[in-house]
Amino acid sequence: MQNFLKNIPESTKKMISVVTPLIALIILFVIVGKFGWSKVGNLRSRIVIAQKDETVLIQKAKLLETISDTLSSGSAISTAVMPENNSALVVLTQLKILSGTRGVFLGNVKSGAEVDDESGLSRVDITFDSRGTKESVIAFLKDTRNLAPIVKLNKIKISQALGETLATVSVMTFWSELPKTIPSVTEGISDLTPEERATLTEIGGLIQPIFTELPAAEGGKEDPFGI
Amino acid sequence: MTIKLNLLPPELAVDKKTASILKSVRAFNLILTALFVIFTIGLSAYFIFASVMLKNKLAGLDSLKNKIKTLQTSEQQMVLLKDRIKKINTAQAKPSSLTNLDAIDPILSTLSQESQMTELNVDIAKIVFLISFKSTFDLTDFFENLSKSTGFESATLTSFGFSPLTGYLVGINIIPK
Repeated sequence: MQNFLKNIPESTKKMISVVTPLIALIILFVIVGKFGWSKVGNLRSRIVIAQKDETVLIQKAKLLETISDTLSSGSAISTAVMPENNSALVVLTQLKILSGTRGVFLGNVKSGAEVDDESGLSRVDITFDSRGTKESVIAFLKDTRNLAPIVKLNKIKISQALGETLATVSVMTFWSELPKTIPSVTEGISDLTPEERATLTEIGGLIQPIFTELPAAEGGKEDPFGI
Repeated sequence: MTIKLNLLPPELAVDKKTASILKSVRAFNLILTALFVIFTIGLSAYFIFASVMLKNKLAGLDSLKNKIKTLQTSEQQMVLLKDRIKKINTAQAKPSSLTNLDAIDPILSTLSQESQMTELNVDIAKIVFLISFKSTFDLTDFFENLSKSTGFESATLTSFGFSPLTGYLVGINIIPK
């Protein structure tokens, strides 16, 4: 081996001693470049994602802070107009109140079974008779468009006899389940569109049902036996 | 006068061409080493800077997420409101016979005191009614008002009767627009 090294010409030895660090440097460049660049690239992509999330979250927080007043009143109104559960009872109450204000007598009220409407909403059909003067009955029927929950008149049959008008009416009312999920924290949320705001203003003018909360019973009767 | 002396043994001497290549490679090595050092330092510095930046961004994101969690009620209300509005619009878009009642009401309100609407059936697709008229004048007056109305597509006279006691009994079927 030593003989072999001794036999290598001096110029080749010097060339090897100079070229070896060059090769080592090139290898180092490749290793450091490849490893370092991938790490930096990974960091950069994480920063870009974080920046995007930050923009979305800032916009979301800003929107939720500014719109919170509209949201609390709007969600209450919209839930009254499109309730979560069968709205038949509330609609009947609303119709009773409305008929009272219009001087119309309401009777023969029947409510059908729940059906799945083709629109995807749940629906119930209600039929009733309303009696009164022709003007008051027609005014009552027209006023049903101002009721919350939504009432859609399906069929109207009006007959007149002895100065009294009898209207047999079939109405539809709708409800729908509440959404079950909210978007993830980092998911953006869009503001109400002008059309949605217009709908909100429109439903704000409807006659809302009045719910009375019964006071909680205070204690119970005292033990009559004194035990 | 300078004299060049080469005291190296002749076997250790390198020719001129090889010496110049060696010199160039040494210089290149030096430049490459310097570049490598600069590159490594630069990369490390950028890595540290980016790490700190990412850390700050993530901390900011966490605080924003916490802020949004406190606004979760508003977010729920927003989701609820958007959902309800969409469904309200669906329900509102459904046809109602009230539109047809609105269309026929102006015509019926022009009826004279002697005339009587005995029956009116309104649904989403059509309006059918029976009216009794005491006089020919009331009858022609009604038809004149009906012909002037533009709120429907067609009107068909379905029945026409006359009795000397009750007058004319007219049945009309209207298809709204």
